[in-house]
Amino acid sequence: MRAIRTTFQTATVAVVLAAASGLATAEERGVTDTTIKIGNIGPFTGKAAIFNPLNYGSVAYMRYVNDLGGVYGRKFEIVLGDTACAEAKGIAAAKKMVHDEKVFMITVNPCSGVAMAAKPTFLQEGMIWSGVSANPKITGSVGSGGDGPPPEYMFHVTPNGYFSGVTMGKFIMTKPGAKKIALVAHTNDWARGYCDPAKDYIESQGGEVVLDTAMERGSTDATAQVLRIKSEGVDGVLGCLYQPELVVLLRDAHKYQLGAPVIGALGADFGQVVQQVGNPDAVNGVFFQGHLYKDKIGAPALEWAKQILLKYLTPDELPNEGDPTHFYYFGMMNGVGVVEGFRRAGRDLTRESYMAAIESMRSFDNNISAGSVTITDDQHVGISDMYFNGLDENGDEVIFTAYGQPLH
Amino acid sequence: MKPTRSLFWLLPLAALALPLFINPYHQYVINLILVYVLVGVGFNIVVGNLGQLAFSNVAFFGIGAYASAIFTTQLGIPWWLTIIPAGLAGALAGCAASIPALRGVRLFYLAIMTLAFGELMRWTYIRTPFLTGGSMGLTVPPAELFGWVLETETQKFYVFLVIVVVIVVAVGRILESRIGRAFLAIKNDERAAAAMAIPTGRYFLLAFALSGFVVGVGGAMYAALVGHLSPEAFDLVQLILHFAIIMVGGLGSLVGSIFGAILITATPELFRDWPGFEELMFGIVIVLVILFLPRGLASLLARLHPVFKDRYLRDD
Repeated sequence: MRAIRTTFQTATVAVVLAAASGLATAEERGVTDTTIKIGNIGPFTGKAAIFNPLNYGSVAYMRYVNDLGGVYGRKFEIVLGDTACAEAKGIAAAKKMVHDEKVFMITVNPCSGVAMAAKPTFLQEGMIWSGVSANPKITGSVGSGGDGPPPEYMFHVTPNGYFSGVTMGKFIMTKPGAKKIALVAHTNDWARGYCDPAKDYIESQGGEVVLDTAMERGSTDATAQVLRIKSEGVDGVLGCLYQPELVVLLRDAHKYQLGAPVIGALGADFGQVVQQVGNPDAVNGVFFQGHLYKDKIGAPALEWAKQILLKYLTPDELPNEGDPTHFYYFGMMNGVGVVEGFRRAGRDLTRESYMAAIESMRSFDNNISAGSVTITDDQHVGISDMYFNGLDENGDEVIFTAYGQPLH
Repeated sequence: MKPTRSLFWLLPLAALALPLFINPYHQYVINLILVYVLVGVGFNIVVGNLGQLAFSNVAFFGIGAYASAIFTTQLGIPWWLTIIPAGLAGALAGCAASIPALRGVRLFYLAIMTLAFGELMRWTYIRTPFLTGGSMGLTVPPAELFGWVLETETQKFYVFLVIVVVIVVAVGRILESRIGRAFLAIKNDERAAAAMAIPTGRYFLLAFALSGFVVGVGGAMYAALVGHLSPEAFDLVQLILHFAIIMVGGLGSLVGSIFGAILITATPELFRDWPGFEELMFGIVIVLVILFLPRGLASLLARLHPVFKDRYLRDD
């Protein structure tokens, strides 16, 4: 009897040890000795496809790192997934990445609605997510637009809408004597993700949002909005609008001689807006927009990023004409932060080691953004500062640190 | 060979075993198909069976989804208890949407009025943030069934499957009954139907309410599946999807609504690995079906085997 018991105990210990050793050597999902599989999801089709340069910016940087030999000998295997910026389709993209592609992490994911809808999937599966979506509820915690601790495996190495909105508010409130502000916003979560924190900041500084008016997507006229704003005699206007509608607002603001600066959100490309407005008087010294980068797009400080974009993206992935627009740099900012996490995590890569590495980032200079990246275990939004673009009276682009205060 | 309808029961029975062979991604897509089966079945009642150009389906869908979500988030009612109220909310919206039709509005005028109803509802979701979360959207807690949280796609699948089977069978019975024949009579010739003492107004109201109920229940399932509702999910793109389901499946065909939902929901997923191609394929499928199968997939299936022909259309 004793012999049987001893044999049984020995066998049990052997099984447990074997299982433990199996666990110890088991590979992390999406990671091999030579590759790390990354899911890169975004709107490659549909009406929000203008945002997919964000995806390609991240792709370009990872291809560049691959060309240098990867991180600890592992190269990035990037799988693109289309969300069409629609919740149902976005969840399908996320689940495909998790269950079919078995990626290590999911990146970029513009479109807040999609990110919010897919968030339970990420949380349930313990999937690491590093996106650029604006909604503060995605990764925000107390102090970054959320109302609790940050989600365990989800973070931004870029700003979220909360910080972008707050900096829009900060910028307009640095205008001497600024008090009365108007908001013009789309009626979607993206726009409110900017305008709501801006409104809170303005009011916390003694300012007053005298008008918060809607401008629907697809609008080709802003007469009603501009005339209402004008009647309020405001000191500035925040336009939480996508590019086409921002152009319409600026044109009509000039047409009806609004006489107040218009601050655009990050859903538009500054250079393209100026070009599309097509009237220097409507933008010079009037139009400002949040600028995430340490200098002008095209300035020597960002030349390295431009060269990477031009070298590592295919003609289909680059703009049809002209240089890469600012969304590409925004996407690359995400790519640099994500790759830095892998560098810090070391050769023994697990989800835990990766998240520990990300949470160790303090004032990390990604060489692109105006603000540095700081992520802690209770703060998962990495960047909280940005500059602003504007044009001087000659139409030359100027980067401002505050209203009327140029960077150079 | 005499067609045997009982063969159809093999479909849900076979589906019961599906989760054994597929991963949660494929399971999610199948769950989405089940949602769109109800959307197609409901939409077809008004457009295909009653023959009215009424496009308020997205409104019913959104109202059902938001009703379920609001009951869950604001009142703390478990999801399974919100299914019928969501359907009733959809039915109520159906009654409201039928008012123009009851007042004699037809064809394109009815189309544009019902489209406007859908857009009005979207505006309402945006403008009532205290209820709907406004433009930021409304996050729905995980669905519950008798205190049991439906955490996985498989769990949702079994619940959805039961709901869909019950509703599809019930709608089938209704369409085969005197009510369904009255719908078809109105579709074929409204004046002749009235001359035969069919109370057309009552059947208009009934068709819209039934359509709203079915689509409303689909909305409740959508809320449980997606977990986050935003007004943009109920825009004109959604209507195009609904319309594609019944056009491709076959106007007025219950079988067509099911196969239309399968094809239209699955096609973009099949071509997901080729970004952009999925949109192209979606368009190509619709054009091909309309060109070569103007009565939809249902007509092709009926040609293959009479069992696929809807009973109420046998003499059509």
